[in-house]
Amino acid sequence: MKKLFSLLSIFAATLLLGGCQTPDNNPSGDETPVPYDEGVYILCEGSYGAGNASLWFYDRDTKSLKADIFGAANDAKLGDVGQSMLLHNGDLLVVVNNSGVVYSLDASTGVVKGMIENLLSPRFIAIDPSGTKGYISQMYTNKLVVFDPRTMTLTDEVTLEGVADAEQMVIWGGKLFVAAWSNGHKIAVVDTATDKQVDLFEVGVQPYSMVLDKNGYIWVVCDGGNEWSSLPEGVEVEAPSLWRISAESHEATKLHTFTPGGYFRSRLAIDGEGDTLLFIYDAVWAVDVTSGEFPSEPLIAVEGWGQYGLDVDPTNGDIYIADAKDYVSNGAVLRYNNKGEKIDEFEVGLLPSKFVFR
Amino acid sequence: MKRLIAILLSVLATLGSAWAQGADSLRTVEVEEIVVSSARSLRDVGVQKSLISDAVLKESLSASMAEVLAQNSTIFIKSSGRATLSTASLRGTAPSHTAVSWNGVELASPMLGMVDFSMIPSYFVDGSEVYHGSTSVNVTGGGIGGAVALSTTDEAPKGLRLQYIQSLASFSTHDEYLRVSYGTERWGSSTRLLNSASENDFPYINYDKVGHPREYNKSCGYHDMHLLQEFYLNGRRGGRWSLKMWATDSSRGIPKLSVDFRDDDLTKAWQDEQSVRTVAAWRRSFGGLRVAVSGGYNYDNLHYIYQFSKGGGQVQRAVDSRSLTHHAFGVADAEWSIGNSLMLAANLKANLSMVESEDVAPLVPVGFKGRREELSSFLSARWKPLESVGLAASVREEWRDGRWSPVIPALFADVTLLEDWGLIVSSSVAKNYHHPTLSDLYFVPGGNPNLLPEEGVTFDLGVECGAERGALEWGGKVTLYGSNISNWILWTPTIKGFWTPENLAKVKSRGVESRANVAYRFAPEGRVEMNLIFAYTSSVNDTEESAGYGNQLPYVPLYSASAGAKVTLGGWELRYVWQYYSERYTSYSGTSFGGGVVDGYSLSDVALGRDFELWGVGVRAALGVNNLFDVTYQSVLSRPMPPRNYSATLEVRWGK
Repeated sequence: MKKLFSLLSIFAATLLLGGCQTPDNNPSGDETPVPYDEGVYILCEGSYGAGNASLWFYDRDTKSLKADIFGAANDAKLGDVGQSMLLHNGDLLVVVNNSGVVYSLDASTGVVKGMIENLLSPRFIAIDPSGTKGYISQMYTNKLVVFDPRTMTLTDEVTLEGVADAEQMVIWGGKLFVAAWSNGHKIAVVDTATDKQVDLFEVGVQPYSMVLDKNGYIWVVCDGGNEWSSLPEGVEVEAPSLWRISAESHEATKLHTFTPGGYFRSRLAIDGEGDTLLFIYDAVWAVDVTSGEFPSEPLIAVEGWGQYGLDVDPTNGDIYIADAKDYVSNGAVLRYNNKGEKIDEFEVGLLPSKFVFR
Repeated sequence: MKRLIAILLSVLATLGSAWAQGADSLRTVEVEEIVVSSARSLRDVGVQKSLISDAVLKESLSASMAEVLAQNSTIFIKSSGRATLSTASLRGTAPSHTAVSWNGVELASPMLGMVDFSMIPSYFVDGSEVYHGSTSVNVTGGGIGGAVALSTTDEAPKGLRLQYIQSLASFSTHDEYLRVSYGTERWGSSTRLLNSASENDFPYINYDKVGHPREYNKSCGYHDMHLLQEFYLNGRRGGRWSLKMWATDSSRGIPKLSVDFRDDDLTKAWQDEQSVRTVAAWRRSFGGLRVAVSGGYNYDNLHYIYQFSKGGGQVQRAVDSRSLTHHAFGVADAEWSIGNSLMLAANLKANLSMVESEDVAPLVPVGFKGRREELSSFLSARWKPLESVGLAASVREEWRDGRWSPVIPALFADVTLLEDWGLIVSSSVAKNYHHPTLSDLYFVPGGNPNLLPEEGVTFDLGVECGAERGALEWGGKVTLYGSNISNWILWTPTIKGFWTPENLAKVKSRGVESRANVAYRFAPEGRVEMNLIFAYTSSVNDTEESAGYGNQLPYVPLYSASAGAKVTLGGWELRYVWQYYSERYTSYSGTSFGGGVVDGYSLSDVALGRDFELWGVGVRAALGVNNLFDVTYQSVLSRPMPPRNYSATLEVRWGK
């Protein structure tokens, strides 16, 4: 009987000890110190529906890496589907799509300074050069959210006519160019002074990504859709294409039609001078924006098809490729110089996709 | 809340009044626990099987089978929330690798291949057997991890019996259960009705958001109704007939992620499901020959909606998906015992499954139609060359959609070393195949009709013992196992922009399963029992060319354990259940940063119950506290789970 009670006591003690615990959101970090002043922010989307997006910082001088700087600074998770980010006046604005939130972080510390929540499906941000007004594009709605990036408060909304939703945006000369990617084939133009739509013109099917070059041209890649796209009546699936648009006149010119069956694995990137356009279409291609000629050979041959993001470090021209690998394991960042020679690579979180350089 | 407090007080008052009535009205509680058999039947030679006893199921009447299995077996239940998708992983395998049946009816959706255990009320289960690893081939094919066989009793008690259970619990939860049965020597009928509903709006501290606000589980109320009708008939020539029909009508909100910042008015998701499962069976014994034939039909209509507000009272559905499943089957069994030392068995099963799935929200609806025809045959021989030695061999052959699968062979053996102590060593080795689901094959876009079956080879070795010495009973079992699975199916993105399944991975699983129980009768009507279950599960990605090579698979805890203690005295019963899972990775990377792991947790539940008679009516009243220490935890990343919560249950039984 005594043995039985001894056993019961041990058992009870185990239960009580096991019952006392608190959650621990501290990420595994490394030695990169705060502040994050010079380096590269890397946004990892995470898996849809899992809430495991993460933000990293790579110090290009010390070659050290800090995991999950959002979690370390805020003792919280970044959210579900890290969609895009933008550096503005020392603040890092991070769009977390399936959390319906846009964070404004102190870029040096990662601490949350403000946030806009209850957004339907935020995708991208554009900030007016005045720094007093920003726009958030969303899926499922043709309404752009207008906000004040200084206070992270909503100020207005812009209803776009002739498009179902909005994706990437570019601002030039007081005009906001908005690509309607999902099942669309048009670009809307909004006057940033009045927040009224002033134009709408056609490009290829599903304008997927846009960048502005040094000559005042907007480069647009259209993925062409696929057989499961819910395209509007009269619009057919087509081969992917590369377009150049005059930001001044809105004249749109198709410069290149890609081989059908390929797939754009990254959005468009442009180097620091704004004279070389880069993107991944089965390989990394570099296009001179002045000539507009499509090269016969890619800059970098890539293996597999995990490459998910691409950008160019404006400080030194290094090319950063986000490799999502098998999409269910951690990804990696591959670094190349501007001649296409590989520098190194390092592991980051799940589905790395976006870079911001500081 | 006031209503709940009032009900709790009334239950307490009932308990008190029953105590005041004295010992005369006390009814001895029949106690059973996890069974450790000391004498192996021929049917169980070499089998690694654990039973969840009738007593455990009765104690857990208001729980779903997800909770019952999590607390009483080595199965890991991956739960996305209270009354939300809960899948099972056995021996570190995927949810689709655990075959699940109810009265012989396969419950796994032929479309997705897995079972939502939160949709199976324990009210509708009288017996539960878990077949671990290779021993699942004795009941079905495809159970690479194992099989769970759920059943209802095949008998209706004589005469008229009524049972009503009213359960009230936190978060505006209520269960109403009614069972009416009538039986004669010749025939019987049993009708069970369950109505279960909850606002499910539990509060929790949201450690995933900045500032750790206190929030409420949103948009996840549910209302489930179940009806189970059973008929039994003893034929004039010795046959036994039965007909069982289980119908479900369920509507459930899908909870939002803990990292979702959108209001319920802006986005909302829910699912409605109607299902019917029927099985008719006949069995008869001719001396040593036992034959059984059964057949049935399942219907399932699952409707999933995700909608958002467009402002001005307008809503739009981003997902409006309907999946219709029809499944018909027929089974013939024969078992021939030749003397006491030899048993031959054969089984033939035919399945026809048809699935139609479509999401009509996009302008161009996406979906697929799939159909599968299957035949499965099984032969086994079990032999006891000596009283203490059992040997068995079996082969299973399956035919699917015009193609024969490779033969599934299995060998089993056990040796009784010390009969007095119930010391038995058992072992088995088997090959098994799990076929792709119809969704894997035909989903549009991305289905891959060229997928190969997943292939597993499993070995296990177990030692068990058990004995009864006076007032003390004890037992235990330890099983070591290993399995290698190849052609593991993973969905990954393609260059076309959608996901597709491929036979990508190899998985190596090694582990230990153990359980122990002890019971001591300290008074004629007093007994104390304890049990402990522990599992170590190393299930790693063994695909060298994969980014996640060598890492523990997502959502497979390396360590899991549960323990229970129960004291009964007279009609009183005090029960304590403890459950532990170590941390789980959330991806194939095996790293912890950025939501890479879900923290380990342990939970404690306690319940106090009282059985007594009142004016000739059997009454049981019970109070329960779940998550006693108010642990904040997640089973699945970003899916909040309930804090400490309370329940009160009142059961009345009438009829002898």
